[in-house]
Amino acid sequence: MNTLLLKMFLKQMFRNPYAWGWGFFFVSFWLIMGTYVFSLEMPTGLPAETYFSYTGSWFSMSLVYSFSALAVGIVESTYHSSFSLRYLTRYSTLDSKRYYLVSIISTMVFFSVFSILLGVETSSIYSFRFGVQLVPKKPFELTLASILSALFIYVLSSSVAYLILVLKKPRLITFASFLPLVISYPLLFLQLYVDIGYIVVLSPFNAVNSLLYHYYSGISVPRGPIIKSGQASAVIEPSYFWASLISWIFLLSMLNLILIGRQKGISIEELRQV
Amino acid sequence: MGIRLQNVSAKYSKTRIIDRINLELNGGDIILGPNGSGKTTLFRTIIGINVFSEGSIEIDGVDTSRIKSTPGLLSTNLEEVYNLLRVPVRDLAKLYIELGKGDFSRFLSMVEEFEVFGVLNKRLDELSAGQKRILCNLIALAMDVKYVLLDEPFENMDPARRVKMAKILMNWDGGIIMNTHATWLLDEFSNWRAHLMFHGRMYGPIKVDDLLKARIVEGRREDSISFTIGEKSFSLVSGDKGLCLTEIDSLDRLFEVGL
Repeated sequence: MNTLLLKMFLKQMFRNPYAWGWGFFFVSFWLIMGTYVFSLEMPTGLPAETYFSYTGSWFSMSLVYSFSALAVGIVESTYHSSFSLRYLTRYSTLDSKRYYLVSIISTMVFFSVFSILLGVETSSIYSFRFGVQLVPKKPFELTLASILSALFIYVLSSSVAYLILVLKKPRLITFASFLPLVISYPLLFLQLYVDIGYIVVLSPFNAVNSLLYHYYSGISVPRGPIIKSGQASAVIEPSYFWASLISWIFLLSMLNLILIGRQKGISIEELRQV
Repeated sequence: MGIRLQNVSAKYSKTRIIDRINLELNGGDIILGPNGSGKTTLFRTIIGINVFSEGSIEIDGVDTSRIKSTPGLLSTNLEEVYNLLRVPVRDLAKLYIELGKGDFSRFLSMVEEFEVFGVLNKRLDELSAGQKRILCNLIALAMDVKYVLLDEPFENMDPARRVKMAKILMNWDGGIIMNTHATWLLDEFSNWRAHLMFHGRMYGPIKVDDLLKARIVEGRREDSISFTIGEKSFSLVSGDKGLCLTEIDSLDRLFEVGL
């Protein structure tokens, strides 16, 4: 693995003001709203489980939105680097496998830092607000779920970028880069308030949300809306969410491999239309 | 063995930019043509980053489609190949030069010579067109490669830096292949070979020295290089009549003559 390339990837990601703005500060704003505005009618002295459920649902949704916001950058950089990559894989020591490995590792590191920061922020401000220590119940599993979520977002974003390259539709790139955000937003809200049936397992965004909620709060994900967790008699085992998430990662990785093989790039003139 | 193109065509979407070109480049070559004649597309096609191309291109006997992970063969100043990451130019240059097994200290000394040290902490997209051109030239020249393809290497540069760049290229110990629409520099490269390019077609080669002595006259002449601009044909002939290339600053003027 090329350490200089890894260093540069991380530098690019950590110095991206849009990633910090939308992926951290904007999400932090909503986390604070969840603590001090939306919880105004929440009485004190409730069982700790209620506060854990509330905090867990805010954390899980915030992290999915943060990752989806970061996905915009992944789609665009994958798309725009296609020319450079074709040049470098011919006339330098770089090969495409090494490039993708470095790209995946740096994305995971970057996303993990955001997970840690948002996790620390959530547990600090919600603990302070409710006077109960609200640290994640299962930090190891939560970390693992965050890392796999990052991997899912990466393969999804690169699939979207390669699909645009294969279809040769450069004008779609801006819309396509927002797809993870556009899809995740309604799905997560639906899961919070209504019973969406099997979609909660089949949708990768809901699977990620459910895993993060479960491992943060220690509460099983109900078959109905999350807002009614604790009241529901039927729950969904985390293994279903893991299976869904891993299957999606596998399927999208396969799709990526097919699309990488089929894409021949687009002309620089078409690239400039964006 | 050089870069050999056989019956090469290239297009963007449905527009044909390069039309059945046969060409051999060994270094010390200037592709001379007005803006829009297909010079940059030709370089993109040689490098292998053009999407729609036909024909055969070989570099030192190897088909370009088979070239993989081969540092030391070719470098270029084409801006679109430096889009891998949005990092400061210093980091970008270091990465490309390391991956291409070039010499980063040579890059830094040339940066000092061109007095562009101050912009190394900016990203390429934050630079002026002239600064971008200089830095892309310098990254390409810092590679230890057999062929350096320079697309309009003097474009948007101030006169002092143009002269510096010309001196570097004249004394370069390696195969420089450049394209330009400017004719002012031809005097400096009199022992190079020129290939004329109009409307995606190549004419020549001709020694720059001979090109400088030649005159452009209307019509086709036997035993001379003839080319077409618009619907008119022109020929390069010896003698006193006609337009001398050194009389015009840019080949774009030929279109005015053609009209």
